[in-house]
Amino acid sequence: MRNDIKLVMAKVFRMKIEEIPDSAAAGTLAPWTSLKHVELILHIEKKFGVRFDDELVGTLLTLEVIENALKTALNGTK
Amino acid sequence: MTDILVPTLNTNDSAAKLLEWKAKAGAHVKAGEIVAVLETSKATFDLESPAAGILHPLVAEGASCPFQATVARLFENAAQLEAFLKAAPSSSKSDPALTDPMLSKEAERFAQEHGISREKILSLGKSSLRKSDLESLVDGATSGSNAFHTAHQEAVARTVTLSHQTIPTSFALMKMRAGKALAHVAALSKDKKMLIGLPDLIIHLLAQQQVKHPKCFGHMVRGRFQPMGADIGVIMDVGQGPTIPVIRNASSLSLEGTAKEMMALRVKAMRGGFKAADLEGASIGLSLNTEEAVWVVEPLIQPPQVAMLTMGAVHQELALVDGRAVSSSYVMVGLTYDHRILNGSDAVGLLTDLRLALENLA
Repeated sequence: MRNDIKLVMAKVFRMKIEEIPDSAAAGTLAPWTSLKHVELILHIEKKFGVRFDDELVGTLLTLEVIENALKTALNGTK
Repeated sequence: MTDILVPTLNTNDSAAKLLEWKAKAGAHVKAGEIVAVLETSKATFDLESPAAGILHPLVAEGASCPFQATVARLFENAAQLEAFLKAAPSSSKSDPALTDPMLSKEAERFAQEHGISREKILSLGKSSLRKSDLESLVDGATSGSNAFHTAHQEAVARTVTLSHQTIPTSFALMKMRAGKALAHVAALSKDKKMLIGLPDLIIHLLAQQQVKHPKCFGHMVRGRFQPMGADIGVIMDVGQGPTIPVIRNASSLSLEGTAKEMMALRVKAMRGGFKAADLEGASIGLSLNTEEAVWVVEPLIQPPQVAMLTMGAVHQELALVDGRAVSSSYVMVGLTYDHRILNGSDAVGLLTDLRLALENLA
């Protein structure tokens, strides 16, 4: 799953997947700006077929947090 | 029966706006009498009756009328008019408040050939239509570009046209050092555990300028300027076309509050959840164009506003500091302004104060 999230990040941020570390976070990864953040979440929702709560969107600020939120959302849909 | 046509008034336009009917429906008019006033992008024109007769307007005031389109009919007597009204479809019987759009002769033929229904024509929401307007309604339209022609794009195009036609604009651009600002939002983001960006800071600082630069915040209404508060409309496009939600009373918000509001609006944009009230009443606009390598995009003022600010991406350059070459971040910030109310000195004044606020953050 982590690699799939990185693939989405690479597409949205126009980076190579190798350039995205496991520790990727808004604020440390230069292209991950406040404007790009919503675009990232939108693409992740489409890729994994989930929909995050609106209030949650603004808190998904690291790769690890996104991964955990995705696992929760996917478990909830099973 | 005699048709009154819109003459071909110039070569720059293909249609004229019918500003006003000077003669009422049912009035007996003389040949050469002025029956309506037309407006093109260049000037206004009197429309004269080509003959004497009883006037029956076919389009409403405010309608856009293609050149050579019929906008009214003249009847020799009341009986002839009555016979016409009995025979004509309901949309032709009504007065100028009628709701059906007017079709050029070419568009009429196209609609008949392709069996385009009245409902489909009405769905375009325009007061007058040419053949090109109807092509998008036909399945398998011949022009590939129609696949991208949506109602939303049509609305954007109308606003762009209105802005170009009605607002005499100029543009001022200023280069601003952004190093301190970037460090400031990064520190605050870490402290508050939320994402605060340079755009949020620009909105926050712009709102603070409303007191000192009130002429930049407001509406032009019937030729008069009405000052307003700092209600900032921010262009957002998350892939579904641009929308411009409004941050209300932005001068009352902290930077953190502004960032929260911006995130909430972006999520709404993502979900397509805006209501009309979210998009109305901005006193100034902001266009954010922060894609890598963009210096600036000259924005259009959204009528009835009088100014729109624009911000490009952050760039790096070498700068001399105390005789040493150091890497420095900067951003281009510009203002498109309405020359009916603002001059270059007003625009530069706002940009200078914004620059000083951005560059001297504690």
